[in-house]
Amino acid sequence: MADLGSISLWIALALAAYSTIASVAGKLRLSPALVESAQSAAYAAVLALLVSTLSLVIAFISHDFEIAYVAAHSDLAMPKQFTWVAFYAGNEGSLLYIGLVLSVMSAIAIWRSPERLKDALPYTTAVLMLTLTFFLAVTAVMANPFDKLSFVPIDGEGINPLLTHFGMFFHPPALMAGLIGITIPFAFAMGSMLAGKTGDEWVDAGRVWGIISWVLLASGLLLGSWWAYTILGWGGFWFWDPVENAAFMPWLALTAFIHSIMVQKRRGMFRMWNIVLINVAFGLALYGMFMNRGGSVPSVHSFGASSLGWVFLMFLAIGVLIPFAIFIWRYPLLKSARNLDSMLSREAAFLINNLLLLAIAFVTLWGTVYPLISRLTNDEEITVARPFYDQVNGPLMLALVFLMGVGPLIPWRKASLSSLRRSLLPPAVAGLATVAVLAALGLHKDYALIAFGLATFVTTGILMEWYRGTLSRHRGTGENYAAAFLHLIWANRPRYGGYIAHLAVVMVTLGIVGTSFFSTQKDVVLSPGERVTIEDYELVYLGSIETPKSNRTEFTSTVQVFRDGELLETLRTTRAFYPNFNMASTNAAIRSTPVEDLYIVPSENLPDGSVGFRILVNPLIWWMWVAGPVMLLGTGIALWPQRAPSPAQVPSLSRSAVRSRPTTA
Amino acid sequence: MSKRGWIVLGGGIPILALIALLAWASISSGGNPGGLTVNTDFVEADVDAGAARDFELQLMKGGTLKLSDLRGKVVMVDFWASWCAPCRVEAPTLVKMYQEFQGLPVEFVGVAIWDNIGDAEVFIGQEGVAYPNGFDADGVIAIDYGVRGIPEKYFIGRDGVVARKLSGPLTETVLRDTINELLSR
Repeated sequence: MADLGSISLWIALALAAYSTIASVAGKLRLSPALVESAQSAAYAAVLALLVSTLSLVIAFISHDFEIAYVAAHSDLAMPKQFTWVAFYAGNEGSLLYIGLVLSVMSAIAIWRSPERLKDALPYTTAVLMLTLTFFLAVTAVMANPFDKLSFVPIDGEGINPLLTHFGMFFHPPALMAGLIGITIPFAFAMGSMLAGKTGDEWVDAGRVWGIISWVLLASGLLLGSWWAYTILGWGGFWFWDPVENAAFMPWLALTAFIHSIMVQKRRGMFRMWNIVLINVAFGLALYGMFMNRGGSVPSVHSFGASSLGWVFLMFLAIGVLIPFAIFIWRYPLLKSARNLDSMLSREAAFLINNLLLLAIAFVTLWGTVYPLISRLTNDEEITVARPFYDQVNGPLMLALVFLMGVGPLIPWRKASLSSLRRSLLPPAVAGLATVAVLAALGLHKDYALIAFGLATFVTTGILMEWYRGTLSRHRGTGENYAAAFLHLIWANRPRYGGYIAHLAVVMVTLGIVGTSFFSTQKDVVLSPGERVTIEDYELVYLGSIETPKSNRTEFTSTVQVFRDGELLETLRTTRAFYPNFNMASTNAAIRSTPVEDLYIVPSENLPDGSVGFRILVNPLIWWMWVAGPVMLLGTGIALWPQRAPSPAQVPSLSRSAVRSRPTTA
Repeated sequence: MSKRGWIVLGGGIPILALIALLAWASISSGGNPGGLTVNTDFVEADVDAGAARDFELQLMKGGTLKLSDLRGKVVMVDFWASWCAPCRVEAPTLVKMYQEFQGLPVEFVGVAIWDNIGDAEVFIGQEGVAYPNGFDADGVIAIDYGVRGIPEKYFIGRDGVVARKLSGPLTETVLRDTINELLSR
């Protein structure tokens, strides 16, 4: 299996390298056959990498401990379903995974590439395959998951217990896929620039792939937070850890990109800006991978293989400087079809939204490199921790939420003050009313008040849009309200899908504000039968059961939860000790409601049967996890292909219509 | 200068500066940019054999500890954080060895850095750490000692001189031998 995997990895590397060269050569020497063979090589690379991946998976399942990677990341006791997790648990496997994902996405992107990108496609293919070549070369030469040990151990070292969690099936693969996925829109942008197609040809492909990477990153970040919340046992979900930041920054840049690309799609504006944004997003993704692979930063995420740091730093330098040079070269061609008509327009709102997102990204970047700067200037390392990010990014994020409420309500081009007043007044009133009511009820935390007000503002604006649209559709077509609502959404999917994603952002805001400002925490040691009160809950600890398992000892503690003397629920929470790792992992018991979470985690099992518990009441955090599926729904709707309207209606004219359509509209 | 020229400068200089900074950090920390490292492998580093810089530590269980008050004992100062996996891995070893040296002139001092105080306290509770542990919120002690990563340990002899600096999670044997060697000096 090791040989098969390794050989197919090398074949994939050769195919990717060939595809890069053949693609450019074919384009320059005007040989369509060569270009086509380059594309075929890109498809074949997928097959080779599938064989390689499958070999590794089979090696895990068959406990082939002669392979160093398998021995280091699994053991005989590991349940089969965690094979998938073990596959990317270490540096080597995760690089192979990234290579596989990139090759699959590239193949689909090349295959589905629209006809009007034909001229640019060879360059796009070359950019994609060059990136793939890099990853495969690093995997094959420096971090080969098929390297063999000189002996065969009887058992492996086992999988890191912190990784044996449901969230781990999706969090790392989604994040890695999202980071590498940015390569696709980037390659479309670069391909178009190299081919001199500096208009709007690449916009649709760029938007679709941008949104796909965006949603992958967003799901990855949310799942990672959820994992941290349920298993790390400190009751929080975000630490501003350098590697969390490394995934967060490209996500911010992509968020800016998928908004401003809509402006180019609809209005032919921001052409240069979109190229800049996708380059920034790609650069930040490379920076993120460098942080991760350098094994350099203090983080729960580091892979700890520092020899790769240099390679990724070089790739970062190349991946930023060469696109920058291409941008400068093509700069004179990157003129937008139109200029901004007015600052009171949706375009302008999008522009400000972009600037805010980039500001947050750069504040975060500053925080991650500041320790280095301080070392350079004072010879002292000062690390930047959570308060810095909260203080600086908090207000920026609130401003962003505000814009999220305004943007969709102002029209393109130019808004009149009276139309603005009409559309913005009701949500503004609702938002201010929320603030007034909450303040009257005794809530005096400024940030929280503003956040709740803004959440109402955004939600009201969206609901109003839906209501108005549904009503006018109901009147116009006579459909009932439900049908009118569904047809409304279906008729303009990018827009209404976007609204649903906005609602998800509001939910995340609620969760963040709830836990940041209103969380209560208590650490207590309880003997069986003892009780403790937190907020209006009364908890009774009944006792613990010790269960020895093959690779761990589990302590399951039972706690009854009462409110007003009434039994609400009996919760079980476990703490498992893994002797192989000298490591304990906890699984929090969480009673989750939309109002608040009751969160219990056993931090310590004492010999006399008493248990140290950390108990938290986290208001509104439920909304944060529900936001994930809502966001997926919204993105799915926004991405669902929209049939081009004209050709279907007038088939006989479609061909000429397409040809005569001006390219720089 | 043309607009294009300005863009070259305005975009190029920050990019080059950032890359140069990362490269410099990589060189100066032996391939590890980004500051503090998680020391996953055991390494011994050279130390300037000099008197250990004194510090006062706010202890998690209340009170303060002054390093100079421990003069006459072999002191192991351990820099750690609750989120650092190797620190978690070695915690039971440290707990066990601390018990083993009970009754001898040996003291362990834990210094949590770059951490949330609540998390550090929970960690101490979870692992049943009995020796004094404090929180170096400003990172002053870590800077004084030139901590490069965590876990990292400084062994101070009975004369108050820093004798050895060991990085990465330690095994019982290394820990026992190091302390015994210092005791016999």
